[in-house]
Amino acid sequence: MTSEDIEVLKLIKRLLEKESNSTSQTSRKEGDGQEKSLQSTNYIEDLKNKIDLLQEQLSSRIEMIKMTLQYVEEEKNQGEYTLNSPLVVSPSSNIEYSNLIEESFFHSEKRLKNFYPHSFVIQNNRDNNMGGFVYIKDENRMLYMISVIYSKPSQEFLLLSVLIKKALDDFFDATHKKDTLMIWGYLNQKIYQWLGGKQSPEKNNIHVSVTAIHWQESSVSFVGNDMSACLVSNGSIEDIPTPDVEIGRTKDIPPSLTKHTYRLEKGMHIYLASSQLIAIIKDQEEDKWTSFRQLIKESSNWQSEHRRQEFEHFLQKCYAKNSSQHSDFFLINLEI
Amino acid sequence: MMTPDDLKALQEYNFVLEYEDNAGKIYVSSSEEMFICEIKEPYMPIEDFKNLLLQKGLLMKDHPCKKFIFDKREISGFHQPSMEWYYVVWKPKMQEKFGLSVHRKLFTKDAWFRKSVEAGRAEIRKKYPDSPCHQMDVKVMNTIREAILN
Repeated sequence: MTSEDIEVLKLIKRLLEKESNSTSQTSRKEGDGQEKSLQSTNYIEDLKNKIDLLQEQLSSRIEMIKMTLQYVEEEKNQGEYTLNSPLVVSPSSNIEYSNLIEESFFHSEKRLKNFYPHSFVIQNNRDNNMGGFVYIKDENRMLYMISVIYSKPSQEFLLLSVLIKKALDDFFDATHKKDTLMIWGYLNQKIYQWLGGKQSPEKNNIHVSVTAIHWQESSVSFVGNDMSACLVSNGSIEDIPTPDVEIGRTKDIPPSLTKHTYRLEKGMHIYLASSQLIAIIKDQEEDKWTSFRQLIKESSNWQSEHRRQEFEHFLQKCYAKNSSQHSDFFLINLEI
Repeated sequence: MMTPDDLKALQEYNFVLEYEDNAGKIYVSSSEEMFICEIKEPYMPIEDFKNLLLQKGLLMKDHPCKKFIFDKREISGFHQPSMEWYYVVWKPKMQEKFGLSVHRKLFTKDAWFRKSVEAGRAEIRKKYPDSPCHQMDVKVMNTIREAILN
Protein backbone atom coordinates (compact mmCIF):
# COMPACT_ATOMS: atom_id res chain seq x y z
CA MET A 1 0.00 0.00 0.00
CA THR A 2 1.73 3.12 -1.17
CA SER A 3 0.93 6.74 -0.44
CA GLU A 4 -0.21 6.94 -4.05
CA ASP A 5 -2.80 4.24 -3.37
CA ILE A 6 -4.07 6.27 -0.45
CA GLU A 7 -4.29 9.36 -2.60
CA VAL A 8 -6.25 7.39 -5.21
CA LEU A 9 -8.65 6.16 -2.54
CA LYS A 10 -9.12 9.70 -1.28
CA LEU A 11 -9.80 10.87 -4.81
CA ILE A 12 -12.35 8.13 -5.40
CA LYS A 13 -14.05 9.08 -2.16
CA ARG A 14 -14.20 12.73 -3.15
CA LEU A 15 -15.61 11.82 -6.57
CA LEU A 16 -18.25 9.61 -5.02
CA GLU A 17 -19.19 12.29 -2.53
CA LYS A 18 -19.48 14.77 -5.36
CA GLU A 19 -21.56 12.37 -7.40
CA SER A 20 -23.74 11.63 -4.39
CA ASN A 21 -24.38 15.35 -3.74
CA SER A 22 -25.15 16.06 -7.37
CA THR A 23 -27.56 13.10 -7.60
CA SER A 24 -29.46 14.15 -4.52
CA GLN A 25 -29.67 17.74 -5.77
CA THR A 26 -30.90 16.65 -9.22
CA SER A 27 -33.42 14.36 -7.62
CA ARG A 28 -34.74 17.20 -5.44
CA LYS A 29 -34.94 19.63 -8.34
CA GLU A 30 -36.66 17.36 -10.80
CA GLY A 31 -39.25 16.05 -8.37
CA ASP A 32 -40.03 13.14 -10.71
CA GLY A 33 -42.30 10.25 -9.92
CA GLN A 34 -42.02 8.11 -6.83
CA GLU A 35 -40.20 5.32 -8.69
CA LYS A 36 -37.45 7.62 -9.91
CA SER A 37 -37.14 9.10 -6.44
CA LEU A 38 -36.83 5.62 -4.95
CA GLN A 39 -34.18 4.71 -7.52
CA SER A 40 -32.26 7.85 -6.65
CA THR A 41 -32.58 7.15 -2.94
CA ASN A 42 -31.27 3.60 -3.41
CA TYR A 43 -28.48 4.88 -5.61
CA ILE A 44 -27.48 7.47 -3.03
CA GLU A 45 -27.71 4.89 -0.27
CA ASP A 46 -25.52 2.58 -2.29
CA LEU A 47 -23.00 5.34 -2.87
CA LYS A 48 -22.99 6.22 0.82
CA ASN A 49 -22.25 2.61 1.70
CA LYS A 50 -19.43 2.58 -0.80
CA ILE A 51 -18.03 5.77 0.67
CA ASP A 52 -18.29 4.32 4.18
CA LEU A 53 -16.47 1.22 3.05
CA LEU A 54 -13.78 3.26 1.34
CA GLN A 55 -13.47 5.42 4.43
CA GLU A 56 -13.09 2.35 6.63
CA GLN A 57 -10.65 0.82 4.18
CA LEU A 58 -8.63 4.00 4.07
CA SER A 59 -8.47 4.35 7.86
CA SER A 60 -7.56 0.69 8.24
CA ARG A 61 -4.76 1.01 5.77
CA ILE A 62 -3.45 4.15 7.38
CA GLU A 63 -3.47 2.37 10.74
CA MET A 64 -1.81 -0.64 9.16
CA ILE A 65 0.93 1.53 7.69
CA LYS A 66 1.49 3.36 10.98
CA MET A 67 1.67 0.10 12.88
CA THR A 68 4.07 -1.43 10.35
CA LEU A 69 6.33 1.62 10.33
CA GLN A 70 6.45 1.59 14.11
CA TYR A 71 7.24 -2.12 14.08
CA VAL A 72 10.02 -1.64 11.51
CA GLU A 73 11.42 1.20 13.61
CA GLU A 74 11.38 -1.00 16.72
CA GLU A 75 13.05 -3.80 14.80
CA LYS A 76 15.73 -1.38 13.70
CA ASN A 77 16.24 -0.19 17.27
CA GLN A 78 16.53 -3.76 18.45
CA GLY A 79 19.22 -4.21 15.83
CA GLU A 80 21.04 -1.28 17.33
CA TYR A 81 20.51 -2.66 20.79
CA THR A 82 22.32 -5.85 19.89
CA LEU A 83 25.19 -3.63 18.80
CA ASN A 84 25.28 -2.38 22.34
CA SER A 85 26.11 -5.67 23.90
CA PRO A 86 29.45 -5.22 25.67
CA LEU A 87 32.25 -5.24 23.18
CA VAL A 88 35.24 -7.39 23.69
CA VAL A 89 38.34 -7.17 21.60
CA SER A 90 40.51 -10.22 22.03
CA PRO A 91 43.83 -9.68 20.31
CA SER A 92 45.72 -12.91 19.85
CA SER A 93 49.09 -11.31 20.58
CA ASN A 94 50.71 -8.18 21.97
CA ILE A 95 51.66 -7.18 18.44
CA GLU A 96 48.07 -7.39 17.31
CA TYR A 97 46.98 -5.42 20.34
CA SER A 98 49.50 -2.66 19.69
CA ASN A 99 48.46 -2.61 16.03
CA LEU A 100 44.84 -2.16 17.05
CA ILE A 101 45.76 0.70 19.37
CA GLU A 102 47.88 2.32 16.73
CA GLU A 103 45.16 2.01 14.13
CA SER A 104 42.44 3.45 16.35
CA PHE A 105 44.33 6.03 18.35
CA PHE A 106 47.27 7.32 16.38
CA HIS A 107 46.23 7.99 12.81
CA SER A 108 43.65 10.73 13.18
CA GLU A 109 45.28 13.20 10.84
CA LYS A 110 45.97 10.58 8.20
CA ARG A 111 42.32 9.54 8.28
CA LEU A 112 41.19 13.15 8.03
CA LYS A 113 43.49 13.86 5.09
CA ASN A 114 42.11 10.89 3.18
CA PHE A 115 38.91 12.85 2.79
CA TYR A 116 40.03 16.45 3.11
CA PRO A 117 43.78 16.65 2.33
CA HIS A 118 44.23 20.24 3.54
CA SER A 119 43.04 19.48 7.05
CA PHE A 120 45.02 18.87 10.22
CA VAL A 121 44.89 17.82 13.85
CA ILE A 122 47.03 19.48 16.51
CA GLN A 123 47.21 18.05 19.96
CA ASN A 124 49.39 18.42 22.94
CA ASN A 125 49.31 16.00 25.84
CA ARG A 126 51.44 15.71 28.92
CA ASP A 127 51.04 11.92 28.84
CA ASN A 128 50.93 9.34 26.06
CA ASN A 129 47.92 7.67 27.64
CA MET A 130 45.67 10.61 26.97
CA GLY A 131 44.73 12.81 24.08
CA GLY A 132 42.21 12.18 21.40
CA PHE A 133 41.46 10.55 18.13
CA VAL A 134 39.23 11.16 15.14
CA TYR A 135 37.09 8.63 13.35
CA ILE A 136 35.87 9.49 9.86
CA LYS A 137 33.21 7.93 7.70
CA ASP A 138 32.01 9.10 4.33
CA GLU A 139 28.64 7.75 3.19
CA ASN A 140 26.17 8.95 0.58
CA ARG A 141 27.60 12.46 0.32
CA MET A 142 27.67 12.76 4.09
CA LEU A 143 30.80 13.00 6.12
CA TYR A 144 30.72 11.88 9.73
CA MET A 145 33.57 12.94 11.95
CA ILE A 146 33.66 11.58 15.48
CA SER A 147 36.26 12.76 17.92
CA VAL A 148 36.97 11.28 21.33
CA ILE A 149 39.24 13.05 23.78
CA TYR A 150 40.55 11.84 27.13
CA SER A 151 41.46 14.73 29.37
CA LYS A 152 43.26 12.70 32.04
CA PRO A 153 45.82 9.96 31.51
CA SER A 154 44.78 6.35 31.85
CA GLN A 155 46.12 3.25 30.17
CA GLU A 156 42.54 2.05 29.93
CA PHE A 157 41.81 4.78 27.42
CA LEU A 158 43.93 3.10 24.80
CA LEU A 159 41.82 -0.01 25.12
CA LEU A 160 38.66 2.11 25.09
CA SER A 161 39.80 3.66 21.80
CA VAL A 162 40.06 0.22 20.26
CA LEU A 163 36.59 -0.61 21.52
CA ILE A 164 35.11 2.66 20.30
CA LYS A 165 36.59 2.24 16.85
CA LYS A 166 35.23 -1.29 16.68
CA ALA A 167 31.85 -0.08 17.96
CA LEU A 168 31.72 2.62 15.30
CA ASP A 169 32.71 0.17 12.55
CA ASP A 170 29.85 -2.10 13.67
CA PHE A 171 27.46 0.83 13.91
CA PHE A 172 28.16 2.05 10.39
CA ASP A 173 27.91 -1.48 9.02
CA ALA A 174 24.62 -2.24 10.73
CA THR A 175 22.67 1.00 10.64
CA HIS A 176 21.24 2.48 7.48
CA LYS A 177 19.86 5.72 8.76
CA LYS A 178 22.20 7.73 10.93
CA ASP A 179 22.27 11.10 12.50
CA THR A 180 24.58 12.84 14.92
CA LEU A 181 22.32 12.35 17.93
CA MET A 182 21.95 8.66 17.19
CA ILE A 183 25.72 8.23 16.96
CA TRP A 184 26.32 10.32 20.06
CA GLY A 185 23.70 8.37 22.02
CA TYR A 186 25.21 5.12 20.87
CA LEU A 187 28.71 6.09 21.97
CA ASN A 188 27.38 7.55 25.20
CA GLN A 189 25.72 4.25 26.03
CA LYS A 190 28.78 2.28 24.98
CA ILE A 191 31.17 4.35 27.11
CA TYR A 192 28.76 4.43 30.03
CA GLN A 193 28.54 0.63 29.97
CA TRP A 194 32.27 0.36 29.74
CA LEU A 195 32.78 2.66 32.71
CA GLY A 196 30.41 0.51 34.74
CA GLY A 197 27.81 3.16 35.44
CA LYS A 198 27.29 6.62 36.73
CA GLN A 199 29.58 6.41 39.73
CA SER A 200 32.73 6.36 37.68
CA PRO A 201 34.54 9.70 37.89
CA GLU A 202 36.18 8.92 34.55
CA LYS A 203 33.04 9.94 32.71
CA ASN A 204 34.04 13.57 33.26
CA ASN A 205 37.34 12.95 31.49
CA ILE A 206 35.89 11.59 28.25
CA HIS A 207 34.69 14.06 25.65
CA VAL A 208 32.90 12.91 22.54
CA SER A 209 31.77 14.97 19.59
CA VAL A 210 29.96 13.98 16.44
CA THR A 211 29.94 16.25 13.42
CA ALA A 212 28.07 15.45 10.22
CA ILE A 213 28.44 17.42 7.01
CA HIS A 214 25.47 16.89 4.77
CA TRP A 215 26.35 18.20 1.32
CA GLN A 216 22.99 17.54 -0.24
CA GLU A 217 21.06 19.37 2.49
CA SER A 218 23.83 21.92 2.88
CA SER A 219 23.84 21.45 6.61
CA VAL A 220 26.19 20.70 9.45
CA SER A 221 25.10 18.80 12.54
CA PHE A 222 27.11 18.90 15.69
CA VAL A 223 26.79 17.46 19.15
CA GLY A 224 29.51 17.13 21.74
CA ASN A 225 30.33 17.44 25.42
CA ASP A 226 33.07 19.91 26.30
CA MET A 227 33.80 20.56 22.65
CA SER A 228 33.26 23.68 20.58
CA ALA A 229 32.88 23.99 16.85
CA CYS A 230 32.76 26.82 14.37
CA LEU A 231 32.42 27.28 10.66
CA VAL A 232 34.61 29.75 8.80
CA SER A 233 33.43 31.16 5.53
CA ASN A 234 34.57 34.26 3.63
CA GLY A 235 36.48 35.60 6.59
CA SER A 236 33.64 35.31 9.06
CA ILE A 237 33.20 32.87 11.91
CA GLU A 238 29.95 31.26 12.85
CA ASP A 239 29.78 29.14 16.00
CA ILE A 240 28.06 25.80 15.54
CA PRO A 241 25.96 25.25 18.65
CA THR A 242 25.58 21.89 20.37
CA PRO A 243 22.82 20.82 22.72
CA ASP A 244 23.86 20.32 26.32
CA VAL A 245 25.01 16.71 26.65
CA GLU A 246 27.18 14.76 29.02
CA ILE A 247 28.46 11.20 29.23
CA GLY A 248 26.17 8.99 31.30
CA ARG A 249 23.14 11.22 30.93
CA THR A 250 20.34 10.34 28.53
CA LYS A 251 17.64 12.74 27.55
CA ASP A 252 15.54 13.41 24.51
CA ILE A 253 17.07 16.09 22.36
CA PRO A 254 15.17 17.46 19.38
CA PRO A 255 17.25 16.99 16.18
CA SER A 256 16.63 20.67 15.36
CA LEU A 257 19.09 21.56 18.12
CA THR A 258 21.93 19.83 16.33
CA LYS A 259 21.24 20.49 12.67
CA HIS A 260 22.17 23.86 11.19
CA THR A 261 21.80 24.97 7.61
CA TYR A 262 24.67 26.81 5.95
CA ARG A 263 25.58 27.57 2.41
CA LEU A 264 28.30 24.95 2.22
CA GLU A 265 31.03 25.57 -0.30
CA LYS A 266 34.38 24.03 -1.04
CA GLY A 267 37.16 25.83 0.81
CA MET A 268 35.17 26.48 3.98
CA HIS A 269 36.70 25.46 7.28
CA ILE A 270 35.30 23.71 10.30
CA TYR A 271 37.26 23.95 13.55
CA LEU A 272 36.70 21.73 16.52
CA ALA A 273 38.43 22.53 19.79
CA SER A 274 38.54 20.87 23.17
CA SER A 275 37.36 22.85 26.17
CA GLN A 276 40.92 22.69 27.55
CA LEU A 277 42.22 24.51 24.51
CA ILE A 278 39.65 27.24 24.90
CA ALA A 279 40.47 27.45 28.60
CA ILE A 280 44.19 27.85 27.85
CA ILE A 281 43.58 30.70 25.45
CA LYS A 282 41.05 32.45 27.63
CA ASP A 283 43.38 32.18 30.64
CA GLN A 284 45.98 34.37 28.94
CA GLU A 285 46.58 37.80 30.29
CA GLU A 286 46.47 39.45 26.91
CA ASP A 287 43.37 39.24 24.79
CA LYS A 288 44.49 36.04 23.15
CA TRP A 289 40.96 34.91 22.47
CA THR A 290 40.41 37.74 20.01
CA SER A 291 43.79 36.98 18.42
CA PHE A 292 42.86 33.33 18.10
CA ARG A 293 39.58 34.17 16.39
CA GLN A 294 41.46 36.56 14.16
CA LEU A 295 43.93 33.84 13.21
CA ILE A 296 41.04 31.51 12.35
CA LYS A 297 39.58 34.18 10.05
CA GLU A 298 42.79 35.28 8.41
CA SER A 299 44.23 31.84 7.82
CA SER A 300 41.33 30.49 5.81
CA ASN A 301 43.06 31.15 2.49
CA TRP A 302 46.55 30.14 3.55
CA GLN A 303 48.29 26.96 2.43
CA SER A 304 47.37 24.25 4.88
CA GLU A 305 50.96 23.65 6.07
CA HIS A 306 51.48 27.33 6.73
CA ARG A 307 48.14 27.51 8.52
CA ARG A 308 49.06 24.54 10.67
CA GLN A 309 52.44 26.06 11.60
CA GLU A 310 50.84 29.33 12.62
CA PHE A 311 48.32 27.57 14.84
CA GLU A 312 51.04 25.44 16.41
CA HIS A 313 53.13 28.52 17.03
CA PHE A 314 50.20 30.38 18.54
CA LEU A 315 49.21 27.50 20.81
CA GLN A 316 52.78 26.79 21.89
CA LYS A 317 53.08 30.38 23.05
CA CYS A 318 49.93 29.98 25.11
CA TYR A 319 51.11 26.59 26.38
CA ALA A 320 54.48 27.97 27.48
CA LYS A 321 52.78 30.53 29.68
CA ASN A 322 50.27 28.16 31.15
CA SER A 323 50.35 25.97 34.21
CA SER A 324 50.78 22.24 33.62
CA GLN A 325 47.23 21.32 34.59
CA HIS A 326 45.95 23.17 31.52
CA SER A 327 48.60 22.01 29.13
CA ASP A 328 46.55 19.58 27.08
CA PHE A 329 44.65 20.56 24.00
CA PHE A 330 43.11 19.20 20.86
CA LEU A 331 42.29 21.12 17.71
CA ILE A 332 40.88 19.86 14.44
CA ASN A 333 40.83 21.91 11.29
CA LEU A 334 38.73 20.52 8.50
CA GLU A 335 39.00 22.30 5.18
CA ILE A 336 35.99 21.01 3.33
CA MET B 1 -7.65 -16.30 -6.78
CA MET B 2 -7.17 -20.07 -6.83
CA THR B 3 -4.62 -21.36 -9.33
CA PRO B 4 -5.32 -24.40 -11.57
CA ASP B 5 -3.18 -26.49 -9.22
CA ASP B 6 -5.12 -25.24 -6.18
CA LEU B 7 -8.39 -26.25 -7.86
CA LYS B 8 -6.90 -29.62 -8.78
CA ALA B 9 -5.83 -30.11 -5.16
CA LEU B 10 -9.37 -29.26 -4.00
CA GLN B 11 -10.70 -32.03 -6.24
CA GLU B 12 -8.04 -34.55 -5.26
CA TYR B 13 -8.73 -34.07 -1.58
CA ASN B 14 -12.53 -34.01 -1.94
CA PHE B 15 -13.18 -30.42 -0.97
CA VAL B 16 -16.76 -29.28 -1.47
CA LEU B 17 -17.98 -25.68 -1.53
CA GLU B 18 -20.26 -25.38 1.51
CA TYR B 19 -20.72 -21.65 1.81
CA GLU B 20 -20.26 -18.55 -0.31
CA ASP B 21 -21.06 -14.87 0.07
CA ASN B 22 -19.66 -11.60 -1.31
CA ALA B 23 -16.68 -11.80 0.99
CA GLY B 24 -15.51 -15.36 0.57
CA LYS B 25 -16.01 -19.09 0.12
CA ILE B 26 -15.72 -22.01 2.51
CA TYR B 27 -14.72 -25.45 1.26
CA VAL B 28 -14.93 -28.55 3.42
CA SER B 29 -13.25 -31.90 3.04
CA SER B 30 -14.84 -34.42 5.37
CA SER B 31 -12.38 -37.13 4.38
CA GLU B 32 -9.38 -34.92 5.25
CA GLU B 33 -11.15 -33.14 8.09
CA MET B 34 -10.01 -29.81 6.74
CA PHE B 35 -11.62 -26.49 5.95
CA ILE B 36 -10.46 -23.90 3.45
CA CYS B 37 -11.71 -20.35 3.69
CA GLU B 38 -10.95 -18.27 0.63
CA ILE B 39 -11.24 -14.49 0.83
CA LYS B 40 -12.49 -12.95 -2.41
CA GLU B 41 -11.98 -9.24 -1.83
CA PRO B 42 -8.83 -7.19 -1.26
CA TYR B 43 -10.41 -5.72 1.88
CA MET B 44 -13.14 -6.99 4.20
CA PRO B 45 -15.19 -4.92 6.61
CA ILE B 46 -15.20 -6.40 10.11
CA GLU B 47 -18.83 -7.52 9.92
CA ASP B 48 -18.23 -9.50 6.71
CA PHE B 49 -15.09 -10.97 8.16
CA LYS B 50 -16.81 -12.01 11.37
CA ASN B 51 -19.77 -13.38 9.48
CA LEU B 52 -17.60 -15.56 7.26
CA LEU B 53 -15.73 -17.02 10.20
CA LEU B 54 -18.92 -17.51 12.19
CA GLN B 55 -20.35 -19.41 9.21
CA LYS B 56 -17.29 -21.59 9.34
CA GLY B 57 -17.93 -22.17 13.05
CA LEU B 58 -21.48 -23.24 12.25
CA LEU B 59 -20.26 -25.66 9.59
CA MET B 60 -17.86 -27.21 12.05
CA LYS B 61 -20.78 -28.41 14.10
CA ASP B 62 -21.56 -30.86 11.30
CA HIS B 63 -18.07 -31.43 9.91
CA PRO B 64 -15.12 -32.27 12.11
CA CYS B 65 -12.08 -30.14 11.35
CA LYS B 66 -8.46 -30.81 12.27
CA LYS B 67 -6.89 -28.17 10.10
CA PHE B 68 -8.03 -24.77 8.91
CA ILE B 69 -6.50 -23.27 5.77
CA PHE B 70 -7.07 -19.56 5.44
CA ASP B 71 -6.45 -18.36 1.90
CA LYS B 72 -5.90 -14.60 2.19
CA ARG B 73 -3.95 -14.13 -1.02
CA GLU B 74 -6.50 -11.64 -2.31
CA ILE B 75 -6.19 -9.42 0.74
CA SER B 76 -4.02 -6.36 0.35
CA GLY B 77 -5.02 -4.52 3.51
CA PHE B 78 -6.45 -5.59 6.83
CA HIS B 79 -8.36 -4.12 9.70
CA GLN B 80 -6.32 -4.67 12.87
CA PRO B 81 -9.34 -4.90 15.24
CA SER B 82 -10.70 -7.68 12.97
CA MET B 83 -7.40 -9.47 13.26
CA GLU B 84 -7.44 -9.10 17.03
CA TRP B 85 -10.91 -10.60 17.15
CA TYR B 86 -9.78 -13.45 14.88
CA TYR B 87 -6.73 -14.20 17.03
CA VAL B 88 -7.91 -13.68 20.57
CA VAL B 89 -11.62 -14.54 20.29
CA TRP B 90 -12.33 -16.76 17.31
CA LYS B 91 -9.27 -18.98 17.32
CA PRO B 92 -9.36 -19.82 21.06
CA LYS B 93 -13.10 -20.38 20.80
CA MET B 94 -12.63 -22.85 17.94
CA GLN B 95 -9.94 -24.63 19.90
CA GLU B 96 -12.06 -24.80 23.00
CA LYS B 97 -15.20 -26.01 21.21
CA PHE B 98 -13.80 -28.18 18.43
CA GLY B 99 -10.15 -28.77 19.30
CA LEU B 100 -8.98 -26.85 16.24
CA SER B 101 -5.41 -25.66 16.72
CA VAL B 102 -3.75 -26.26 13.34
CA HIS B 103 -3.85 -23.25 11.06
CA ARG B 104 -2.28 -22.77 7.66
CA LYS B 105 -2.29 -19.45 5.87
CA LEU B 106 -1.67 -18.17 2.40
CA PHE B 107 -0.75 -14.53 1.89
CA THR B 108 0.03 -12.34 -1.04
CA LYS B 109 3.76 -12.34 -1.82
CA ASP B 110 3.90 -8.58 -1.39
CA ALA B 111 6.76 -7.98 1.09
CA TRP B 112 5.20 -4.86 2.59
CA PHE B 113 1.93 -6.68 3.30
CA ARG B 114 3.79 -9.58 4.90
CA LYS B 115 5.68 -7.13 7.07
CA SER B 116 2.36 -5.59 8.11
CA VAL B 117 1.04 -9.02 9.06
CA GLU B 118 4.15 -9.57 11.16
CA ALA B 119 3.65 -6.15 12.77
CA GLY B 120 -0.01 -6.96 13.45
CA ARG B 121 0.89 -10.26 15.08
CA ALA B 122 3.57 -8.60 17.22
CA GLU B 123 0.99 -6.04 18.33
CA ILE B 124 -1.45 -8.79 19.33
CA ARG B 125 1.30 -10.65 21.18
CA LYS B 126 2.14 -7.47 23.06
CA LYS B 127 -1.50 -6.70 23.87
CA TYR B 128 -2.59 -10.25 24.71
CA PRO B 129 0.54 -12.06 25.86
CA ASP B 130 -1.37 -14.88 27.55
CA SER B 131 -3.76 -15.69 24.71
CA PRO B 132 -3.73 -19.40 23.76
CA CYS B 133 -3.53 -18.33 20.10
CA HIS B 134 0.24 -17.93 20.52
CA GLN B 135 0.63 -21.65 21.30
CA MET B 136 -1.16 -22.89 18.21
CA ASP B 137 0.41 -24.61 15.22
CA VAL B 138 0.37 -21.81 12.65
CA LYS B 139 2.34 -21.85 9.39
CA VAL B 140 2.37 -19.73 6.29
CA MET B 141 2.27 -21.71 3.03
CA ASN B 142 2.53 -20.82 -0.63
CA THR B 143 -0.07 -23.09 -2.25
CA ILE B 144 -3.23 -24.88 -1.28
CA ARG B 145 -1.58 -28.22 -1.96
CA GLU B 146 1.34 -27.37 0.31
CA ALA B 147 -1.09 -26.25 3.02
CA ILE B 148 -3.07 -29.48 2.77
CA LEU B 149 0.01 -31.65 2.94
CA ASN B 150 1.92 -29.85 5.71
